[in-house]
Amino acid sequence: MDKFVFKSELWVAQNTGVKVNTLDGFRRAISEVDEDTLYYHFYRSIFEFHFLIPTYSNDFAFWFSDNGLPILAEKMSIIDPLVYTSLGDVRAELSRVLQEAGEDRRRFKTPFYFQRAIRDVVELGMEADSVSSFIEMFESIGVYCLFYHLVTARLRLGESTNDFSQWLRAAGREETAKEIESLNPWMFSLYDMKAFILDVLKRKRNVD
Amino acid sequence: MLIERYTPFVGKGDVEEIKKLAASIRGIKVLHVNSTRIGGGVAEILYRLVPLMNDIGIETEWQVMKGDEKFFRVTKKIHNLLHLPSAESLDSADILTFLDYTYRNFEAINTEPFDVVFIHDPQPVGLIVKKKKDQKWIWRCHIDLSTPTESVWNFIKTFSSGYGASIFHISEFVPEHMSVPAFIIPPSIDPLHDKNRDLDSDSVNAVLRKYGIDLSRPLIVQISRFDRLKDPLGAIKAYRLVKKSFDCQLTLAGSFAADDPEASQVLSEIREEAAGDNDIFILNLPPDSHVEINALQRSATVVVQKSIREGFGLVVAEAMWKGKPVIGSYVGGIRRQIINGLTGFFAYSTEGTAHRIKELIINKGLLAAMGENAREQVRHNFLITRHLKDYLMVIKSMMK
Repeated sequence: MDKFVFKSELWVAQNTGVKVNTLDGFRRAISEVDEDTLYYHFYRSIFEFHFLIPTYSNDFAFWFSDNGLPILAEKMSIIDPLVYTSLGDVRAELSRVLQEAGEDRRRFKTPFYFQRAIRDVVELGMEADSVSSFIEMFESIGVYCLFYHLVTARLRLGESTNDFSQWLRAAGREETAKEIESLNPWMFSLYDMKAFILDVLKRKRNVD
Repeated sequence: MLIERYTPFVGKGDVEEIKKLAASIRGIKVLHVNSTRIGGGVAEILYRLVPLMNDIGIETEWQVMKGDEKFFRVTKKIHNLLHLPSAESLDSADILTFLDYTYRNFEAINTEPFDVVFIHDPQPVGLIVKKKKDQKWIWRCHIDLSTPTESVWNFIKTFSSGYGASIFHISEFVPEHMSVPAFIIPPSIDPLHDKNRDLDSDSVNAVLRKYGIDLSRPLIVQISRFDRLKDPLGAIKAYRLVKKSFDCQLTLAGSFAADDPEASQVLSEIREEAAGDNDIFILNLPPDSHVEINALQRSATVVVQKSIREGFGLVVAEAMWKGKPVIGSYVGGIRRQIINGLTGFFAYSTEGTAHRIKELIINKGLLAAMGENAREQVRHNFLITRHLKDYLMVIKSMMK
C-alpha cells in the first residue's frame, strides 16, 4: 500500500484585468477566462470563508444578488460542485444557466472583477503508512490541507471522491471511505468537517 | 522560532505550511524598501514581517529611502493626486525633485545582492532603474489607484511598468490597464502587537477609568484619524439617535500630527458638536497609544467605522480580532472585511448606523455570534501569517 502524503494547497489571488458590469460581458467572460479564474471564484467561499455558511456558495451568485438579480444568484449558487469532476463541466453549466437567463441590458452598479488563483501545493512532511499513523497525523493538519485533499481532489482525480477516501479504500476501509465521501463541504465549516472525519476515523479505527 | 509564537492563533497546520513554503524557496535573498522606518501602516507591517521572513530561513533586509521635507512634500502631493482625480498636477519642479532624490538614493539603497526586491508605495518606485537582469522586482502599492489623477499616474507608470509584478490590497484599487501582473493581497494585523495582544480586564479597566468612561453602560467606539472622510460628526449623530433609546456612551479616539492644520480644525468641530455631552469622549491620543486603543476596542459594545472614503481601513480588522462586530460604511477595504449580517453590518446612512447599533445592543446573542465570526474572519484572512504566506507565494510564482 502506498503511503498517504499529507499536502496543503495555498493560493494567492491575481487580478486578470477582466472587469464586467453587464450580463452580456459576464457571459462572455465566463466562456473566456482561464480555469484558474473559474476555480478561484467557484471555490473561494470555502477557501477563505469556510468557517461561515454564507447565503450563496460562490462569488458569481453574490455578484448577481448585489446587483438585484436574486433568481440568477440563486441559480448560480445551486450549481453543485460535488456533481462536477472538471472545471470544463463547471464552465459549461455556468454558461447554460447564463444562457437561460435571457437578455438584460442593464449596466450594473457593482462591477465583477475576475481574479485567478495562483496555486501551489506543499508537502507537509507527514507520510502515513498505516491507518493508525494516518489518524495521528490527521489530527494536526490545517484547513488548507483539508481543502486540498477533500474539497478539490475530485478535479484532480476526475471522479467523485477525495484523497482520504481513495487511500482508505485501498487500505480496505470501504465503509470509512464512503462515509467521508458523503460529506458536503458547502454545508459545514472545514473545522466541522475535520472533527467529523476524525470522529469517523476513531470510531472505525478497528472495524470496517 | 518567532513563527511558533503564532501557533496559538492560527494553529500548527498553518505554521507548518509557512515553513514548508519557505523551505521551497530557501536560498533567495529578499529586500524590502519603503520611505519610513517608523509610523504608518507599511512600517508597522515590515517591522514584524522582515524578522519573520528571516526566522523561516528567507534572508531578508529592510532598507529605507532617504529624503527630507522637500522630497516628502512632493511625494505627499503625489499620494494625494493618485488617490483622487484633480485638476492639479505635478509641476516641473516637483518632477525634478522626485527624480533628484530618486537618483541620490541609487547610492544609498543597495539592491544588488538581492534576488527579489519589494518596493513599497510610490516614493521609492523610481529605484527600478537599478534592476539587474536576473532580479525580480515587485511594486507593492498600498494606496487606492482606482481613480487617480491621470497625469500623475502616467508619471508613476513610467516606473511601475518596469516591474515584474505589482501588488494591491483589493481588485478595485488596481488602475485600469495595469501593464504588469497585479496580485491581490490585503494588509494584515499582528496579533502580538501591543495594539492587538490580549489584555487582562484590569488593564482594560485602567484605561477606561483614566478617561472617565463608565464600565457599566454600553459604549460605541470609532477609532480613526480626525479627518472629515471618517465622518466623525456622522458618528455623533448616530450615537444621538441611539441615545434616545439607550443610556450609552461614545468614544471617538485618534491622533494627528501637530503640523496637520486640517486635523486640528476637524478636532475643533468635533469638540464643538460634542460640547455639553459628558457621555461623548473625544480622545486625541499620542501616536504610540497602542494599549489605549486596544483597551478601547476591547471594551466597546459596538465598533463603528462610518467612513465616507477609506483605504483598506485596517482598524476594522483590529476591532474584529477583539471579537467586536463592526458597523461600517460600504467603502474601500471595509467591503472586504465585513461580511454583512455575519461579522457585522454595512450601514449606508446615519439612521441605518443607529439602527444597527441598537440591534446589537439589544440582541446579546447576535452580538456574541457576530463577534465570534468576526474574530474567525480575521484569524483566517487578516493576520500577518496570511500576509507572509501570500508574499512567499508571490516570490515563488515569480521565481518559476
